[in-house]
Amino acid sequence: MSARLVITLPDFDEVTRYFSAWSDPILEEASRKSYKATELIGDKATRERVENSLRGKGKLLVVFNGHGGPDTMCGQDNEDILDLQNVELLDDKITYARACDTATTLGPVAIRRGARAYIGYTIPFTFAIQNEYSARPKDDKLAALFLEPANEVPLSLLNGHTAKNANIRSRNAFRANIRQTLVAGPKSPTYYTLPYLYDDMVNQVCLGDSEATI
Amino acid sequence: MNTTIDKKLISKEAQRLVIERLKQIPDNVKLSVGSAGEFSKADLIQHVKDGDVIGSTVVDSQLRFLRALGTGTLLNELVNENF
Repeated sequence: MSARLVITLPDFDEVTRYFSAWSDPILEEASRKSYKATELIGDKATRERVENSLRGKGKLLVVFNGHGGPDTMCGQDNEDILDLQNVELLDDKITYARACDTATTLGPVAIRRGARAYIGYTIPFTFAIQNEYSARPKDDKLAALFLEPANEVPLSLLNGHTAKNANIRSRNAFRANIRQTLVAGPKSPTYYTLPYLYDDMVNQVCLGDSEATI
Repeated sequence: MNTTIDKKLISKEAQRLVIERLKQIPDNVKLSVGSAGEFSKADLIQHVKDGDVIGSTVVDSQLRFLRALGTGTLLNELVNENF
């Protein structure tokens, strides 16, 4: 049975448009690795479709993009697509949530109810946007400082790394950007991003079976 | 000495420090602070002055970074690539 990827790609506001646009490398890598991908784009990022997509057996990587809170993950128009009522759907799966705060409650509960691994954030995921790239997020090199390191989690998982290593590789990518900015010094045009890069890095956590692979 | 007043003084000092740091953000840049939305430099400074939830989030983030920088935690984290 081939491995599957389920990914939510809501696009109803600037943040979700950025997250979804920056998910293209994940989809391209999944295609290269012959994953069967279920893309829940825009209006399809609903609770019902997420629940249907998560049912079934086989190796499954779940990538959530969107807004979140301690005990909820949101889809299109901030609909709750995963919460404490249906979190058991992550049973036996590896999940990466590019969203705020979900690793404080939702992630730990998912692990207690049988999820293999859950990588997410214990704080609001923060990133910077340049206004002139609002209509073409993938060209925004400032946002790239944050979103490329974040992408390293699913990219590493798709390439067979363990959950722990995927988290480490992603954090190392954040580290590289922090180092580069620090070395450039206070006159660096992106020096002001340091507190947010640092926060995203240290608060990105891997829960559950650290040796889990897809 | 009254602790409540002390806390307020510290908070005011932190606010001033953070506002100075926020002034470095270019005018064409917005910060997306989780589900709270996107904020320009002017928005962020106003939230910090107001001392609301967004302002506190920004202040906390800046102070965590400065503490990590000052205590050497940041440097330790930058050289250790295995966690």
